[in-house]
Amino acid sequence: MKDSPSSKNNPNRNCVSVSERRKESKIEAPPHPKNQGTSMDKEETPTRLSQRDCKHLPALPLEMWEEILKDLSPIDFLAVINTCPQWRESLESNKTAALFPLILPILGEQIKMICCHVKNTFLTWRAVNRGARRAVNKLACAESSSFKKYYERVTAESTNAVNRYSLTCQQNELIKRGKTEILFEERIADFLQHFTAESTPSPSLREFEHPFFSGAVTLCIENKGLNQPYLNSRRTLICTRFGHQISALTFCHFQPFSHDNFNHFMELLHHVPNLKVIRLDGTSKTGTHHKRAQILERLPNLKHLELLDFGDYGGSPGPEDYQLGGILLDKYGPNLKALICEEMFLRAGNVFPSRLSHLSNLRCFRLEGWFSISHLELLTQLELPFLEDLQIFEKEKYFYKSDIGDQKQGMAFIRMLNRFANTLTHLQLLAGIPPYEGVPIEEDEEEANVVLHKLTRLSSRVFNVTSPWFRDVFLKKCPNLKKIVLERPGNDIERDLLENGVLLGFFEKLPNLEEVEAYWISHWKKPVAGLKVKTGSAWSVIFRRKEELVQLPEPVE
Amino acid sequence: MALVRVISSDGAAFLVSQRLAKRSGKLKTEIETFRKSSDNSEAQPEIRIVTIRAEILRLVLQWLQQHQNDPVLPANQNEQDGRGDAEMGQSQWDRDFLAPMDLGIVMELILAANHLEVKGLLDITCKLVESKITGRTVDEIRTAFKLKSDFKGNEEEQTRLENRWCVEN
Repeated sequence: MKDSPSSKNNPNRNCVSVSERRKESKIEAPPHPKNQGTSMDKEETPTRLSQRDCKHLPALPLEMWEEILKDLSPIDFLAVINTCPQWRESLESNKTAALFPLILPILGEQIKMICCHVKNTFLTWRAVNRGARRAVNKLACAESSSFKKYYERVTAESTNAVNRYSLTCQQNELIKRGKTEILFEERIADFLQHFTAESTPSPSLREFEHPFFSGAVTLCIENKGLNQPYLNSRRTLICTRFGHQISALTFCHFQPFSHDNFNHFMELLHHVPNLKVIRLDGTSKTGTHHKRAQILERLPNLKHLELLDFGDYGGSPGPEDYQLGGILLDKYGPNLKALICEEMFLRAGNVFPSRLSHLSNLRCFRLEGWFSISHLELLTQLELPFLEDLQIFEKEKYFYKSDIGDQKQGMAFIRMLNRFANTLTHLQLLAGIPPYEGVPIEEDEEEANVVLHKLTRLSSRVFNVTSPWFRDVFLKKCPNLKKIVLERPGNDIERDLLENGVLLGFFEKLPNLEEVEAYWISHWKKPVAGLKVKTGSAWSVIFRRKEELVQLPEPVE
Repeated sequence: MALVRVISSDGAAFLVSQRLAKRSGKLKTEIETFRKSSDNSEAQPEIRIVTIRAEILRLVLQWLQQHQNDPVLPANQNEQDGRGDAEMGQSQWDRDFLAPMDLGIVMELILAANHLEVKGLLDITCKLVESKITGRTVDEIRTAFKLKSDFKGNEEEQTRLENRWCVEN
């Protein structure tokens, strides 16, 4: 609503009152955009603040208001233009500039590109102004600054659920592949030359804020003979100068640590006080140069550390008491919110079970392996009083194994779940559970009847759902499930099960189920015909094609 | 017909059908939350959207009204490169709808569609802005969005060096 020019000197003239009652308008058929101004005009127009409502606002000249409001943060700017028409009018010329940082993250997800078109878009935005740089930096470091985001990304990548076409994803890949994150031997000298001009230190170069603007860095520590002292000193220099910016650190080491390298590793940790994520990639042996107690004493207190990722860590189940992962778990276990590791890592003699007994704050646990009895029994022994998200991921998709499928295995699975019955909200079965087809034997009934009250979301491989045992025993334990996500079929059997819609009937007895989501590829057979599909307060089926939700079948009564 | 009152940040109330409102993920959640917490199943939900003003909320509801019979999300017709949603989902009505809007309004509409979880509207508005922001130089973006460089000292040079490090071979 436009104001008359005569009212411009009164800053309160056009404010609106939420408290005042007003007419309601009902949205009828919308006007054609070219002919706006008919039925939509029935909508109630905001009324202005009365003199009484506005008297608390100081009466200042408009120019002063403009001066006061010009440095608002984008969020505050939006709040101002959303509440006061006069201020909105006076700030109109600044609107696109002020809102620019707010729309960048949205555009990052919405704009889709193929890699060859992507090259500099993100980085160009970053160079526009300070607000844009802050917004892009925040996008780039999202997953290194939040254990949840990191955990979700690892999950999404393993289930093909990540939206690889989004600009944000493409750009982050670009940054990861680029030099910012990965500092192998040959790049260390380049990095220092680029960012520190080490031969001629200049005051301005000490002011560099964001050489690691994604917050994530990979350092590769290898045994390099005579060259080692030089490389170690260069890495130390980088971490001394820029280590406070690093929030996610990957250590690659593909050989057992030498004495010097291990000392170097310990030294580097002292220069990265803001670490939230440590990922180990490579081998685990630390050699026999130090006693465990000595190592523990020398590790810094990383009070922000929330996640350890040992998913690509070659822990060998040997007697060595120096495996780095186990020692890190010892030191930082009580802080951890999330842990990613392989079954083999847990089996290492020095890791389990005592070192997992103090993960008292763990919320998310991803275990990579498959459903062997010993695997399930391992999990059953864990004390994880706050575990909310349990994920079992199988790197290689086995369907049948000779040693699975008996009653013992089914009950081991049930006992494992019962262990976390009071806290678990999301279960992700990204591995093949035992295709056990019986019902629990009598002495196991009590275990079978324990209800997972808080479990509202289940993600599973398609194949798991077909097991009669899964339907007859497992689903009865989960009466509060609201959403089931069926992961992308791994082979033709799973695809056939999806296409033929036979899975959907399995979920009818879940009273609170609202949605079953499955991947769908456009050239697959249309899934709607013959499916019993409900919508609304019952449940619906959403089919996914790649990363995009594409089809919501019409309700069938 | 079940109705819901949707109230903008500046106090304008819109009475719309719940069926229409539920096309927005945010409004759907709010309606369901209201239903769970209300003793009276006939009570009319009232939802205040404190971050969207009347002019923008009206546009969102108008778009929802026009697209109320569409699938929840438009099909992606071109999955070779992941593009195509917005182009394929954009009708002549959409083009006419967006045509008179200045960039500021479109940006507010993006924020509103994102907040209210209206995917289709988000797609077409982002597509409109995309041409002004991708493949453009820093100066072109500044011109299109009326932005000024506010970098201090050597910040701009630092940013340029940081960017160069990311992309140079």
